[in-house]
Amino acid sequence: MEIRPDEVQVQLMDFCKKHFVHYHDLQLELSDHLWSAIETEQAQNPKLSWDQALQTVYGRFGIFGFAHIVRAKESAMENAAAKAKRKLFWEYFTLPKITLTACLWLSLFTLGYWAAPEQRSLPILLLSLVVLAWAWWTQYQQEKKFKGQKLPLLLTASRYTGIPAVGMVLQLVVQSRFFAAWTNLAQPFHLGPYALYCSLLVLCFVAVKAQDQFSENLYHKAKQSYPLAFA
Amino acid sequence: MNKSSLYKGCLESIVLRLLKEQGRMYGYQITQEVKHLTAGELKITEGALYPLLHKLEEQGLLQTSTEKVENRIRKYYALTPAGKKESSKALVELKQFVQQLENIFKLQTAWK
Repeated sequence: MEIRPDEVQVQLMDFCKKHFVHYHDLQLELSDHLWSAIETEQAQNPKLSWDQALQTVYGRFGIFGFAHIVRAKESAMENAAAKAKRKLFWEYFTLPKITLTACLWLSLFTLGYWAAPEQRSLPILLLSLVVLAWAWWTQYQQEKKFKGQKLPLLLTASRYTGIPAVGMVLQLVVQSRFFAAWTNLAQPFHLGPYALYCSLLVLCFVAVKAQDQFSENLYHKAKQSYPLAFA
Repeated sequence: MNKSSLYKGCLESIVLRLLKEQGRMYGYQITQEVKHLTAGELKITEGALYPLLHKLEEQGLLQTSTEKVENRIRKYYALTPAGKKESSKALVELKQFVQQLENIFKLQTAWK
């Protein structure tokens, strides 16, 4: 049976899917490779049918088929995502963004500096709740955007790494301050630990901001590179 | 000795060099070009090429772009500025390695 040229890649992508490649971006790359290799095979041996050529070409991927490539790509994408997030995070500790980070820390610290030791729990508790709510909100907004993605992409699959850690730290801050305030409202909160909590909050804020920026960049890159996945 | 195993250690340098010369290439094109350049001595398997390309992309040495060519969507790989630097470095290292090998074998011939 003759396959129409515009159907070839779709069929080869289905072939990849049947061989456990579920990501659209990797399916596209592998199907192009298969197609080019089949064309070469058939040029060398015109009697070879499409299916026979496909099986010959697939055989070159070894006994594990595409599995090794999928694993290697997943690992590469996770490392790339972690590296990109780290880069965005550290940008807040180098010029010019460090001025924003320093101002934020100083504002938080000044807020508690002038307050009595017994009243310092309150701003930390409130601000932790604000950062936590903001983290959830930005995540919700990003997910709303990614809902438009109809096909799975390896490129966007690694966007969640690191989020649970930020959430856990923020929840720990909120809980520890909440229980401190609950058990003894007048419990003194010395400047040293207060400064530490301020730093922790600023770190969480920067981590959420970096994650948000990363998701935003990733969304645009994915949409631009693989428009069919968002159709 | 199988010459293919000698080439395998230089695969990364070969791919970087090819991309520097050609500007941008797609996966299958790289396998064919390497086969052609080494007169069939080195046949890069797909299982070796793609993990290498993905690793180099993750390291920021390669950048990718997709384009519709002859009814198909094709992914191209090209060197980033860091990749261009790495390519030149890899060539120098490779030349030094070849020089060292030459020295080893010259020395051994002299012993004989």
